[in-house]
Amino acid sequence: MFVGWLWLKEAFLGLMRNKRWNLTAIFITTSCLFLFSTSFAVGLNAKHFAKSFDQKIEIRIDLKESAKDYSRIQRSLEEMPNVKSVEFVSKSEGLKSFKKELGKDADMLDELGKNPLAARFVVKVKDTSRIQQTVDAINKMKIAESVQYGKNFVEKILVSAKAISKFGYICTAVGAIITIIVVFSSIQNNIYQRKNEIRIKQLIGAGYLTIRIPFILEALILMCVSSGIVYLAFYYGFARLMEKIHSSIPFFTFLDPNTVLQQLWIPLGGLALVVGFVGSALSTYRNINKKNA
Amino acid sequence: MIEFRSVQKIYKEDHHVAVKEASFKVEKGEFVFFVGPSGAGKSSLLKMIYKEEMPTNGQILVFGKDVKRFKTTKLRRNVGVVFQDFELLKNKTAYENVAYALECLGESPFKIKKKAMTALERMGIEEHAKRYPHQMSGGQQQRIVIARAIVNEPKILVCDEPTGNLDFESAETVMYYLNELNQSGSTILMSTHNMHIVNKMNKRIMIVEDGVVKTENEETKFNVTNFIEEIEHTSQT
Repeated sequence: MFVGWLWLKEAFLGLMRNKRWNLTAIFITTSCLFLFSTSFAVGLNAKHFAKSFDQKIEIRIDLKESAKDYSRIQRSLEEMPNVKSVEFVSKSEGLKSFKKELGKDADMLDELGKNPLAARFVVKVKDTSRIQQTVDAINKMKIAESVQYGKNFVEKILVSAKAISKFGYICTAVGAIITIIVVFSSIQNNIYQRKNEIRIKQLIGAGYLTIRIPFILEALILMCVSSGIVYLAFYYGFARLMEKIHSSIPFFTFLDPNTVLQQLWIPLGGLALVVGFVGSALSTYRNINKKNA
Repeated sequence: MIEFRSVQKIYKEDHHVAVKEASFKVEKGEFVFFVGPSGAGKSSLLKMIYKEEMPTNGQILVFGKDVKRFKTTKLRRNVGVVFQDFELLKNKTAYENVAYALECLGESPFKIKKKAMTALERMGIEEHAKRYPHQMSGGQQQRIVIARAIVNEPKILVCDEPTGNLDFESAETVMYYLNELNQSGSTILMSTHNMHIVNKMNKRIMIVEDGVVKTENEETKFNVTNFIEEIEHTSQT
Protein backbone atom coordinates (compact mmCIF):
# COMPACT_ATOMS: atom_id res chain seq x y z
CA MET A 1 0.00 0.00 0.00
CA PHE A 2 2.74 2.44 1.01
CA VAL A 3 4.81 1.64 -2.04
CA GLY A 4 1.75 2.40 -4.21
CA TRP A 5 1.70 5.90 -2.75
CA LEU A 6 5.39 6.25 -3.64
CA TRP A 7 4.67 5.18 -7.24
CA LEU A 8 1.97 7.83 -7.59
CA LYS A 9 4.10 10.50 -5.94
CA GLU A 10 7.03 9.78 -8.23
CA ALA A 11 4.80 9.67 -11.31
CA PHE A 12 3.45 13.17 -10.58
CA LEU A 13 6.94 14.43 -9.72
CA GLY A 14 8.16 13.09 -13.05
CA LEU A 15 5.37 14.94 -14.86
CA MET A 16 6.30 18.18 -13.14
CA ARG A 17 10.04 17.80 -13.73
CA ASN A 18 9.68 16.93 -17.37
CA LYS A 19 7.18 19.65 -18.32
CA ARG A 20 8.40 20.50 -21.81
CA TRP A 21 8.57 16.93 -23.05
CA ASN A 22 5.28 16.05 -21.43
CA LEU A 23 3.47 19.03 -22.96
CA THR A 24 4.79 18.04 -26.38
CA ALA A 25 3.64 14.49 -25.74
CA ILE A 26 0.17 15.72 -24.68
CA PHE A 27 -0.12 17.87 -27.81
CA ILE A 28 0.84 15.08 -30.21
CA THR A 29 -1.20 12.47 -28.36
CA THR A 30 -4.26 14.72 -28.30
CA SER A 31 -3.98 15.27 -32.06
CA CYS A 32 -3.72 11.53 -32.65
CA LEU A 33 -6.66 10.72 -30.39
CA PHE A 34 -8.73 13.49 -31.98
CA LEU A 35 -8.11 11.98 -35.40
CA PHE A 36 -9.11 8.58 -34.09
CA SER A 37 -12.29 9.92 -32.49
CA THR A 38 -13.26 11.76 -35.68
CA SER A 39 -12.76 8.59 -37.74
CA PHE A 40 -14.74 6.64 -35.18
CA ALA A 41 -17.64 9.12 -35.29
CA VAL A 42 -17.63 9.20 -39.12
CA GLY A 43 -17.67 5.39 -39.17
CA LEU A 44 -20.56 5.21 -36.72
CA ASN A 45 -22.58 7.79 -38.64
CA ALA A 46 -21.89 6.10 -41.97
CA LYS A 47 -23.22 2.83 -40.58
CA HIS A 48 -26.27 4.58 -39.14
CA PHE A 49 -26.92 6.40 -42.39
CA ALA A 50 -26.64 3.21 -44.42
CA LYS A 51 -28.99 1.41 -42.05
CA SER A 52 -31.65 4.11 -42.11
CA PHE A 53 -31.40 4.44 -45.89
CA ASP A 54 -31.58 0.70 -46.35
CA GLN A 55 -35.09 0.71 -44.95
CA LYS A 56 -36.16 3.19 -47.65
CA ILE A 57 -34.63 1.37 -50.58
CA GLU A 58 -37.15 0.03 -53.12
CA ILE A 59 -37.08 -1.27 -56.68
CA ARG A 60 -39.27 0.52 -59.20
CA ILE A 61 -40.24 -1.60 -62.21
CA ASP A 62 -41.76 0.33 -65.10
CA LEU A 63 -43.55 -2.28 -67.12
CA LYS A 64 -43.38 -2.65 -70.89
CA GLU A 65 -46.56 -1.87 -72.80
CA SER A 66 -46.75 -5.55 -73.73
CA ALA A 67 -46.74 -6.72 -70.09
CA LYS A 68 -50.41 -6.74 -69.22
CA ASP A 69 -50.90 -9.77 -66.98
CA TYR A 70 -50.36 -7.79 -63.78
CA SER A 71 -51.57 -10.39 -61.30
CA ARG A 72 -49.28 -13.11 -62.73
CA ILE A 73 -46.33 -10.74 -62.68
CA GLN A 74 -47.15 -9.77 -59.10
CA ARG A 75 -47.24 -13.45 -58.04
CA SER A 76 -43.91 -14.10 -59.76
CA LEU A 77 -42.37 -11.14 -57.97
CA GLU A 78 -43.79 -12.18 -54.60
CA GLU A 79 -42.33 -15.66 -55.02
CA MET A 80 -38.78 -14.29 -55.29
CA PRO A 81 -36.78 -15.19 -52.17
CA ASN A 82 -35.56 -11.69 -51.24
CA VAL A 83 -38.82 -9.87 -51.85
CA LYS A 84 -40.61 -8.47 -48.81
CA SER A 85 -43.57 -6.73 -50.44
CA VAL A 86 -44.91 -5.89 -53.88
CA GLU A 87 -47.18 -2.94 -54.63
CA PHE A 88 -48.86 -2.33 -57.97
CA VAL A 89 -49.29 1.23 -59.25
CA SER A 90 -51.53 1.37 -62.29
CA LYS A 91 -50.99 3.84 -65.13
CA SER A 92 -53.83 6.05 -63.92
CA GLU A 93 -52.71 5.96 -60.30
CA GLY A 94 -49.22 6.84 -61.42
CA LEU A 95 -50.47 9.77 -63.43
CA LYS A 96 -52.57 10.96 -60.51
CA SER A 97 -49.67 11.02 -58.09
CA PHE A 98 -47.36 12.53 -60.70
CA LYS A 99 -49.84 15.37 -61.29
CA LYS A 100 -49.95 15.88 -57.57
CA GLU A 101 -46.17 16.21 -57.49
CA LEU A 102 -46.15 18.66 -60.42
CA GLY A 103 -48.88 20.81 -58.87
CA LYS A 104 -49.71 23.84 -61.08
CA ASP A 105 -47.55 22.49 -63.92
CA ALA A 106 -49.75 19.36 -64.16
CA ASP A 107 -51.66 20.83 -67.13
CA MET A 108 -48.82 20.12 -69.47
CA LEU A 109 -49.48 16.40 -69.00
CA ASP A 110 -53.01 16.91 -70.33
CA GLU A 111 -51.58 18.57 -73.41
CA LEU A 112 -49.82 15.31 -74.28
CA GLY A 113 -53.22 13.74 -74.93
CA LYS A 114 -52.43 10.34 -73.50
CA ASN A 115 -50.92 8.97 -70.27
CA PRO A 116 -47.14 8.75 -70.87
CA LEU A 117 -46.45 6.78 -67.70
CA ALA A 118 -46.04 3.03 -67.56
CA ALA A 119 -47.75 0.75 -65.06
CA ARG A 120 -45.34 0.15 -62.21
CA PHE A 121 -44.51 -2.36 -59.51
CA VAL A 122 -42.77 -1.12 -56.35
CA VAL A 123 -40.83 -3.91 -54.71
CA LYS A 124 -39.34 -3.82 -51.21
CA VAL A 125 -36.61 -6.30 -50.38
CA LYS A 126 -35.68 -8.12 -47.18
CA ASP A 127 -31.89 -7.78 -47.54
CA THR A 128 -30.55 -4.77 -49.40
CA SER A 129 -27.10 -6.30 -49.71
CA ARG A 130 -28.66 -8.88 -52.13
CA ILE A 131 -30.73 -6.31 -54.04
CA GLN A 132 -28.60 -6.65 -57.18
CA GLN A 133 -29.51 -10.36 -57.48
CA THR A 134 -33.22 -9.47 -57.19
CA VAL A 135 -32.86 -6.79 -59.86
CA ASP A 136 -31.07 -9.26 -62.14
CA ALA A 137 -33.89 -11.78 -61.65
CA ILE A 138 -36.47 -9.12 -62.51
CA ASN A 139 -34.56 -8.16 -65.65
CA LYS A 140 -34.55 -11.81 -66.72
CA MET A 141 -38.36 -11.77 -66.65
CA LYS A 142 -38.21 -9.31 -69.60
CA ILE A 143 -41.28 -7.44 -68.45
CA ALA A 144 -39.63 -4.16 -67.54
CA GLU A 145 -39.02 -1.09 -69.58
CA SER A 146 -36.68 0.05 -66.79
CA VAL A 147 -35.70 -1.14 -63.33
CA GLN A 148 -34.52 1.55 -60.91
CA TYR A 149 -33.31 1.41 -57.36
CA GLY A 150 -31.43 3.79 -55.03
CA LYS A 151 -28.72 1.35 -54.04
CA ASN A 152 -26.05 2.96 -56.18
CA PHE A 153 -26.47 6.27 -54.44
CA VAL A 154 -26.29 4.70 -50.98
CA GLU A 155 -23.32 2.61 -52.00
CA LYS A 156 -21.47 5.66 -53.25
CA ILE A 157 -22.09 7.48 -49.98
CA LEU A 158 -21.09 4.41 -47.98
CA VAL A 159 -17.91 3.95 -50.00
CA SER A 160 -17.00 7.61 -49.47
CA ALA A 161 -17.74 7.42 -45.74
CA LYS A 162 -15.76 4.20 -45.43
CA ALA A 163 -12.84 5.75 -47.35
CA ILE A 164 -12.85 8.76 -45.03
CA SER A 165 -13.08 6.47 -42.04
CA LYS A 166 -10.31 4.19 -43.37
CA PHE A 167 -8.04 7.15 -44.07
CA GLY A 168 -8.71 8.39 -40.56
CA TYR A 169 -7.82 5.01 -39.06
CA ILE A 170 -4.60 4.83 -41.09
CA CYS A 171 -3.71 8.31 -39.87
CA THR A 172 -4.60 7.16 -36.34
CA ALA A 173 -2.27 4.15 -36.65
CA VAL A 174 0.57 6.38 -37.86
CA GLY A 175 -0.29 8.86 -35.11
CA ALA A 176 -0.27 6.05 -32.53
CA ILE A 177 3.23 5.01 -33.62
CA ILE A 178 4.41 8.62 -33.42
CA THR A 179 2.81 8.91 -29.97
CA ILE A 180 4.55 5.74 -28.81
CA ILE A 181 7.86 7.23 -29.95
CA VAL A 182 7.09 10.52 -28.17
CA VAL A 183 6.08 8.73 -24.95
CA PHE A 184 9.20 6.54 -25.27
CA SER A 185 11.44 9.61 -25.58
CA SER A 186 9.65 11.48 -22.83
CA ILE A 187 10.10 8.57 -20.42
CA GLN A 188 13.69 8.05 -21.59
CA ASN A 189 14.42 11.66 -20.76
CA ASN A 190 12.81 11.25 -17.37
CA ILE A 191 14.77 8.07 -16.66
CA TYR A 192 17.97 9.96 -17.46
CA GLN A 193 16.97 12.79 -15.10
CA ARG A 194 16.20 10.31 -12.31
CA LYS A 195 19.15 7.97 -12.83
CA ASN A 196 20.40 8.64 -9.29
CA GLU A 197 17.09 7.60 -7.76
CA ILE A 198 17.00 4.50 -9.95
CA ARG A 199 20.56 3.63 -8.92
CA ILE A 200 19.68 4.01 -5.24
CA LYS A 201 16.58 1.87 -5.66
CA GLN A 202 18.60 -0.82 -7.38
CA LEU A 203 21.27 -0.82 -4.67
CA ILE A 204 18.88 -1.09 -1.77
CA GLY A 205 17.02 -3.98 -3.38
CA ALA A 206 13.81 -2.29 -4.51
CA GLY A 207 11.70 -4.55 -6.70
CA TYR A 208 11.44 -4.60 -10.50
CA LEU A 209 8.04 -2.93 -10.40
CA THR A 210 8.97 -0.27 -7.83
CA ILE A 211 11.66 0.97 -10.19
CA ARG A 212 9.56 0.89 -13.38
CA ILE A 213 5.94 1.53 -12.41
CA PRO A 214 6.31 5.27 -11.66
CA PHE A 215 7.40 5.80 -15.28
CA ILE A 216 4.55 3.72 -16.66
CA LEU A 217 2.06 5.53 -14.40
CA GLU A 218 3.46 8.82 -15.61
CA ALA A 219 2.76 7.87 -19.22
CA LEU A 220 -0.73 6.63 -18.35
CA ILE A 221 -1.57 9.89 -16.56
CA LEU A 222 -0.31 11.78 -19.58
CA MET A 223 -2.53 9.73 -21.89
CA CYS A 224 -5.54 10.13 -19.60
CA VAL A 225 -5.11 13.91 -19.83
CA SER A 226 -4.94 13.72 -23.63
CA SER A 227 -7.98 11.48 -23.97
CA GLY A 228 -9.84 13.69 -21.47
CA ILE A 229 -9.16 16.76 -23.62
CA VAL A 230 -10.43 14.96 -26.75
CA TYR A 231 -13.53 13.67 -24.97
CA LEU A 232 -14.35 17.14 -23.66
CA ALA A 233 -13.84 18.61 -27.14
CA PHE A 234 -16.33 16.07 -28.51
CA TYR A 235 -18.69 16.59 -25.59
CA TYR A 236 -18.97 20.31 -26.22
CA GLY A 237 -18.26 20.51 -29.96
CA PHE A 238 -19.73 17.43 -31.62
CA ALA A 239 -23.45 18.21 -31.14
CA ARG A 240 -22.98 21.74 -32.50
CA LEU A 241 -21.06 20.46 -35.52
CA MET A 242 -23.78 17.89 -36.25
CA GLU A 243 -26.46 20.59 -36.07
CA LYS A 244 -24.55 22.69 -38.61
CA ILE A 245 -24.04 19.79 -41.01
CA HIS A 246 -27.67 18.72 -40.66
CA SER A 247 -28.93 22.19 -41.52
CA SER A 248 -26.92 22.20 -44.76
CA ILE A 249 -27.76 18.59 -45.80
CA PRO A 250 -31.12 17.85 -44.13
CA PHE A 251 -31.68 14.48 -45.88
CA PHE A 252 -28.79 13.05 -43.89
CA THR A 253 -29.87 11.49 -40.65
CA PHE A 254 -27.10 11.52 -38.06
CA LEU A 255 -26.72 9.56 -34.89
CA ASP A 256 -27.65 11.30 -31.69
CA PRO A 257 -24.40 12.94 -30.37
CA ASN A 258 -24.97 11.34 -26.96
CA THR A 259 -24.99 7.89 -28.57
CA VAL A 260 -21.68 8.70 -30.29
CA LEU A 261 -20.18 9.92 -26.99
CA GLN A 262 -21.38 6.82 -25.16
CA GLN A 263 -19.79 4.57 -27.74
CA LEU A 264 -16.61 6.66 -28.05
CA TRP A 265 -15.23 6.75 -24.52
CA ILE A 266 -14.23 3.10 -24.23
CA PRO A 267 -12.24 2.84 -27.50
CA LEU A 268 -10.79 6.31 -26.93
CA GLY A 269 -9.65 5.57 -23.38
CA GLY A 270 -8.51 2.08 -24.39
CA LEU A 271 -6.38 3.34 -27.25
CA ALA A 272 -4.86 6.06 -25.04
CA LEU A 273 -3.95 3.60 -22.29
CA VAL A 274 -2.55 1.00 -24.70
CA VAL A 275 -0.36 3.58 -26.48
CA GLY A 276 0.83 5.00 -23.14
CA PHE A 277 1.58 1.58 -21.72
CA VAL A 278 3.43 0.34 -24.81
CA GLY A 279 5.55 3.51 -25.09
CA SER A 280 6.51 3.63 -21.43
CA ALA A 281 7.02 -0.13 -21.03
CA LEU A 282 9.34 -0.18 -24.05
CA SER A 283 11.22 2.81 -22.70
CA THR A 284 11.75 1.36 -19.22
CA TYR A 285 12.71 -2.01 -20.75
CA ARG A 286 15.27 -0.36 -23.00
CA ASN A 287 16.65 2.27 -20.66
CA ILE A 288 16.72 0.73 -17.20
CA ASN A 289 19.46 -1.78 -16.59
CA LYS A 290 17.67 -5.10 -16.10
CA LYS A 291 20.73 -6.74 -14.56
CA ASN A 292 20.34 -4.69 -11.40
CA ALA A 293 16.64 -5.30 -10.73
CA MET B 1 29.31 -15.60 5.88
CA ILE B 2 31.01 -14.85 2.56
CA GLU B 3 33.13 -17.31 0.67
CA PHE B 4 34.90 -16.94 -2.67
CA ARG B 5 35.84 -20.25 -4.32
CA SER B 6 38.34 -19.91 -7.19
CA VAL B 7 36.49 -16.88 -8.53
CA GLN B 8 37.46 -15.35 -11.83
CA LYS B 9 35.97 -12.30 -13.52
CA ILE B 10 36.53 -11.50 -17.18
CA TYR B 11 34.56 -8.63 -18.71
CA LYS B 12 32.89 -9.65 -21.95
CA GLU B 13 33.10 -6.21 -23.53
CA ASP B 14 36.87 -5.85 -23.58
CA HIS B 15 37.98 -9.33 -22.39
CA HIS B 16 39.72 -7.63 -19.47
CA VAL B 17 40.60 -10.07 -16.71
CA ALA B 18 39.64 -8.13 -13.57
CA VAL B 19 39.95 -11.01 -11.12
CA LYS B 20 42.27 -13.91 -11.94
CA GLU B 21 41.94 -15.91 -8.77
CA ALA B 22 40.11 -15.20 -5.55
CA SER B 23 39.58 -17.76 -2.83
CA PHE B 24 38.88 -16.56 0.68
CA LYS B 25 36.38 -16.60 3.50
CA VAL B 26 34.98 -13.75 5.57
CA GLU B 27 33.36 -14.72 8.84
CA LYS B 28 30.38 -13.05 10.48
CA GLY B 29 31.32 -9.84 12.30
CA GLU B 30 34.68 -9.43 10.56
CA PHE B 31 36.07 -6.15 9.21
CA VAL B 32 38.19 -6.80 6.14
CA PHE B 33 40.23 -4.34 4.10
CA PHE B 34 40.89 -5.00 0.42
CA VAL B 35 44.08 -3.16 -0.38
CA GLY B 36 45.72 -2.73 -3.74
CA PRO B 37 46.57 -0.31 -6.52
CA SER B 38 43.96 1.13 -8.89
CA GLY B 39 42.76 -1.40 -11.44
CA ALA B 40 43.85 -4.35 -9.30
CA GLY B 41 40.30 -5.74 -9.20
CA LYS B 42 39.08 -4.56 -5.78
CA SER B 43 35.84 -3.01 -7.03
CA SER B 44 35.08 -6.01 -9.25
CA LEU B 45 35.50 -8.29 -6.22
CA LEU B 46 33.08 -6.23 -4.14
CA LYS B 47 30.56 -5.83 -6.98
CA MET B 48 30.27 -9.60 -7.24
CA ILE B 49 29.13 -9.81 -3.62
CA TYR B 50 25.98 -7.76 -4.30
CA LYS B 51 25.48 -9.07 -7.86
CA GLU B 52 26.38 -5.89 -9.67
CA GLU B 53 28.70 -8.19 -11.59
CA MET B 54 28.58 -11.95 -11.90
CA PRO B 55 31.66 -14.19 -11.64
CA THR B 56 32.83 -15.71 -14.93
CA ASN B 57 34.13 -18.81 -13.17
CA GLY B 58 34.08 -20.10 -9.63
CA GLN B 59 31.51 -19.72 -6.91
CA ILE B 60 30.60 -17.03 -4.40
CA LEU B 61 28.63 -17.98 -1.32
CA VAL B 62 26.85 -15.32 0.71
CA PHE B 63 25.02 -16.47 3.83
CA GLY B 64 25.96 -20.00 2.68
CA LYS B 65 24.07 -19.65 -0.62
CA ASP B 66 25.46 -19.24 -4.14
CA VAL B 67 24.88 -15.63 -5.23
CA LYS B 68 23.70 -16.91 -8.61
CA ARG B 69 20.73 -18.48 -6.85
CA PHE B 70 19.96 -15.35 -4.86
CA LYS B 71 17.26 -13.03 -6.12
CA THR B 72 19.08 -9.71 -6.62
CA THR B 73 16.52 -7.72 -4.63
CA LYS B 74 16.63 -10.14 -1.69
CA LEU B 75 20.44 -10.17 -1.63
CA ARG B 76 20.68 -6.38 -1.71
CA ARG B 77 18.26 -5.96 1.18
CA ASN B 78 20.86 -7.81 3.24
CA VAL B 79 23.98 -6.21 1.79
CA GLY B 80 24.40 -2.45 2.24
CA VAL B 81 26.57 -0.64 -0.32
CA VAL B 82 28.62 2.55 0.08
CA PHE B 83 30.60 4.21 -2.72
CA GLN B 84 33.28 6.83 -3.01
CA ASP B 85 30.95 9.23 -4.84
CA PHE B 86 28.13 9.98 -2.49
CA GLU B 87 25.10 9.47 -4.75
CA LEU B 88 22.82 11.51 -2.50
CA LEU B 89 19.64 13.06 -3.86
CA LYS B 90 20.32 16.79 -3.94
CA ASN B 91 16.68 17.83 -3.58
CA LYS B 92 16.17 15.79 -0.41
CA THR B 93 17.32 16.48 3.13
CA ALA B 94 19.60 14.09 5.03
CA TYR B 95 16.57 12.54 6.70
CA GLU B 96 14.67 12.26 3.40
CA ASN B 97 17.66 10.64 1.70
CA VAL B 98 17.80 7.94 4.37
CA ALA B 99 14.01 7.56 4.55
CA TYR B 100 13.79 7.24 0.75
CA ALA B 101 15.47 3.83 0.90
CA LEU B 102 12.77 2.56 3.21
CA GLU B 103 9.98 4.20 1.21
CA CYS B 104 11.15 2.23 -1.83
CA LEU B 105 10.95 -0.97 0.19
CA GLY B 106 7.33 -0.21 1.10
CA GLU B 107 7.83 0.43 4.83
CA SER B 108 5.10 2.24 6.78
CA PRO B 109 5.62 5.96 7.58
CA PHE B 110 5.89 5.18 11.29
CA LYS B 111 8.66 2.62 10.79
CA ILE B 112 10.42 4.86 8.29
CA LYS B 113 10.63 7.72 10.78
CA LYS B 114 11.89 5.48 13.56
CA LYS B 115 14.44 3.58 11.50
CA ALA B 116 15.73 6.61 9.58
CA MET B 117 16.33 8.60 12.78
CA THR B 118 18.06 5.61 14.37
CA ALA B 119 20.38 5.26 11.36
CA LEU B 120 21.23 8.97 11.45
CA GLU B 121 21.90 8.74 15.19
CA ARG B 122 24.21 5.76 14.67
CA MET B 123 26.19 7.88 12.23
CA GLY B 124 26.17 10.87 14.60
CA ILE B 125 24.41 13.22 12.17
CA GLU B 126 20.91 13.39 13.63
CA GLU B 127 21.27 17.13 14.24
CA HIS B 128 21.79 17.60 10.47
CA ALA B 129 18.65 15.66 9.55
CA LYS B 130 16.95 18.67 7.99
CA ARG B 131 19.95 19.85 6.03
CA TYR B 132 20.41 19.35 2.33
CA PRO B 133 23.57 17.63 1.03
CA HIS B 134 25.10 20.87 -0.29
CA GLN B 135 24.86 22.32 3.24
CA MET B 136 27.10 19.58 4.63
CA SER B 137 30.76 18.60 4.46
CA GLY B 138 32.01 15.61 2.46
CA GLY B 139 32.43 13.55 5.60
CA GLN B 140 28.89 14.30 6.73
CA GLN B 141 27.53 13.44 3.30
CA GLN B 142 29.36 10.13 3.34
CA ARG B 143 27.89 9.38 6.76
CA ILE B 144 24.40 9.96 5.31
CA VAL B 145 25.24 7.48 2.57
CA ILE B 146 26.31 4.97 5.22
CA ALA B 147 23.15 5.71 7.23
CA ARG B 148 21.11 5.01 4.09
CA ALA B 149 23.03 1.78 3.50
CA ILE B 150 22.43 0.53 7.04
CA VAL B 151 18.87 1.82 7.53
CA ASN B 152 17.39 -1.51 6.50
CA GLU B 153 19.79 -3.24 8.92
CA PRO B 154 21.76 -5.29 6.41
CA LYS B 155 24.04 -7.96 7.84
CA ILE B 156 26.88 -7.10 5.46
CA LEU B 157 28.19 -3.67 4.53
CA VAL B 158 30.27 -3.34 1.36
CA CYS B 159 32.25 -0.09 1.15
CA ASP B 160 34.06 0.72 -2.09
CA GLU B 161 36.63 3.44 -1.34
CA PRO B 162 34.28 5.27 1.05
CA THR B 163 36.99 7.70 2.16
CA GLY B 164 38.41 8.30 -1.30
CA ASN B 165 36.96 11.80 -1.66
CA LEU B 166 37.45 12.86 1.96
CA ASP B 167 40.11 14.81 3.79
CA PHE B 168 42.11 13.10 6.50
CA GLU B 169 39.92 14.25 9.39
CA SER B 170 36.62 13.38 7.69
CA ALA B 171 38.01 9.99 6.67
CA GLU B 172 38.92 9.25 10.28
CA THR B 173 35.42 10.19 11.45
CA VAL B 174 33.82 7.95 8.82
CA MET B 175 36.13 5.10 9.90
CA TYR B 176 35.17 5.66 13.52
CA TYR B 177 31.51 5.11 12.69
CA LEU B 178 32.23 2.14 10.45
CA ASN B 179 34.18 0.61 13.34
CA GLU B 180 31.20 1.26 15.63
CA LEU B 181 28.95 -0.59 13.20
CA ASN B 182 31.40 -3.46 13.11
CA GLN B 183 31.51 -3.55 16.90
CA SER B 184 27.72 -3.85 16.96
CA GLY B 185 27.90 -6.95 14.76
CA SER B 186 27.93 -5.85 11.11
CA THR B 187 30.31 -7.60 8.75
CA ILE B 188 32.22 -4.98 6.79
CA LEU B 189 34.23 -5.37 3.59
CA MET B 190 36.03 -2.24 2.50
CA SER B 191 38.37 -1.42 -0.35
CA THR B 192 40.76 1.47 0.12
CA HIS B 193 43.95 3.19 -0.96
CA ASN B 194 44.29 4.94 2.38
CA MET B 195 47.16 3.06 4.05
CA HIS B 196 47.11 5.29 7.06
CA ILE B 197 43.60 4.10 7.87
CA VAL B 198 44.49 0.48 7.20
CA ASN B 199 47.45 0.71 9.57
CA LYS B 200 45.51 2.52 12.23
CA MET B 201 42.46 0.25 12.23
CA ASN B 202 44.41 -2.94 12.71
CA LYS B 203 41.88 -5.16 10.93
CA ARG B 204 42.22 -8.12 8.61
CA ILE B 205 43.79 -7.20 5.28
CA MET B 206 43.58 -8.83 1.87
CA ILE B 207 45.92 -7.70 -0.84
CA VAL B 208 44.55 -7.47 -4.34
CA GLU B 209 47.27 -7.29 -6.92
CA ASP B 210 46.82 -7.79 -10.63
CA GLY B 211 43.51 -9.62 -10.11
CA VAL B 212 44.85 -12.02 -7.52
CA VAL B 213 43.68 -11.92 -3.88
CA LYS B 214 46.31 -12.75 -1.27
CA THR B 215 45.02 -13.48 2.17
CA GLU B 216 47.00 -12.31 5.14
CA ASN B 217 48.18 -14.87 7.64
CA GLU B 218 51.14 -15.23 9.99
CA GLU B 219 53.44 -16.40 7.20
CA THR B 220 52.61 -13.61 4.83
CA LYS B 221 52.31 -10.90 7.50
CA PHE B 222 55.76 -9.58 6.67
CA ASN B 223 54.91 -9.38 2.96
CA VAL B 224 51.69 -7.51 3.67
CA THR B 225 53.54 -4.91 5.70
CA ASN B 226 56.04 -4.54 2.90
CA PHE B 227 53.26 -4.20 0.36
CA ILE B 228 51.52 -1.50 2.38
CA GLU B 229 54.76 0.43 2.69
CA GLU B 230 55.26 0.09 -1.04
CA ILE B 231 51.82 1.49 -1.83
CA GLU B 232 52.29 4.31 0.67
CA HIS B 233 55.60 5.17 -0.98
CA THR B 234 54.00 5.08 -4.46
CA SER B 235 51.13 7.35 -3.39
CA GLN B 236 53.56 9.83 -1.79
CA THR B 237 55.75 10.05 -4.88
